[in-house]
Amino acid sequence: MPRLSVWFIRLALIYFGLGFTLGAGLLMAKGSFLPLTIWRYRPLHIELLLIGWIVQLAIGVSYWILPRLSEANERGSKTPVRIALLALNGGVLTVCAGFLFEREWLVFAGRVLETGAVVSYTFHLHPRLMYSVWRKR
Amino acid sequence: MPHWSRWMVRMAMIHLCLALLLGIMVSFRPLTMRYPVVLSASPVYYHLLMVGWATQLIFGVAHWMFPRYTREQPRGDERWMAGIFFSLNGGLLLRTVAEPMLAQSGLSLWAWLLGFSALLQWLAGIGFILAIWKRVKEK
Ligand code: HEM
Repeated sequence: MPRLSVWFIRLALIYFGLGFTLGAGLLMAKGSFLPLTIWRYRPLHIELLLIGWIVQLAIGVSYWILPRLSEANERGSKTPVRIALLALNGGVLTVCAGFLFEREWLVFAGRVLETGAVVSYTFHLHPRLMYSVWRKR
Repeated sequence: MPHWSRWMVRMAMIHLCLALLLGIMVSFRPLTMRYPVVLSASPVYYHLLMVGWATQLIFGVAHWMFPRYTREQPRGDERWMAGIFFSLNGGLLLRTVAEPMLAQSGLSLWAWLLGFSALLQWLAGIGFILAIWKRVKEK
């Protein structure tokens, strides 16, 4: 497993732990075991798990496992993947801060960062997928 | 493929079928008009999909494919995975019943079962993080 995947997957696991804990708290509050004020964290729960966990894990595992360019050049340029790592995590944290402090522009900025991350990662992945098609032919 | 990974993938597919069936029910007007309890199962629909299917599929495949823990115990203690399997599925199925029932009847038994389901799912999640963390490493 390459180092960048280790970063993606470990961060995904951290968000997963936080998001699951919030989810359990929300459910406890539904059963009246915790105060309903926890409900204000509901959007954080969704953000942490959908983007921080599922999307981030998918990127981390696909970077590791999808076809490589060649034995020598391995997986191709790391720069767009590094950008994706920073932008995705910056994005998730910014969106969460936006929800916490009720700043709509932060939520917007975070979503722009997340989109940038996925575009950057797609840019990295494209030649890896094309090359594997050529090789098959 | 290890035993508990097979079971997780199997259960993930069952949860996916349940989720999609529930999705049909939640969006079928004549049914929800007659039985409003179906509408309060909307969060259950999302969670059967994202916890029961997506997350459980990830658990099963990661347990199978991630780098070895040690040469002697490549996937750690299998009993730990069994605990995660029962805790996640037990917790989620309990939620599937208790959440709409609580919305409908407000009986404290459903509240207790809902609280217990939260605890079971949380334990499964934390258990998985503990089990897999050391297997996320450079090779
Ligand atoms: C991968 C994991 C998860 C994802 C992607 C996820 C996603 C979501 C989404 C999309 C919603 C909004 C649903 C709606 O509007 O009806 C939601 C709400 C909620 N989630 Fe999760 N969730 C996850 C795990 C969990 C877990 C493990 C628990 C509890 C143990 C939980 C408890 C809740 C609760 C109580 C709500 C509020 C439901 C309501 O609005 O009535 N979630 N989650």
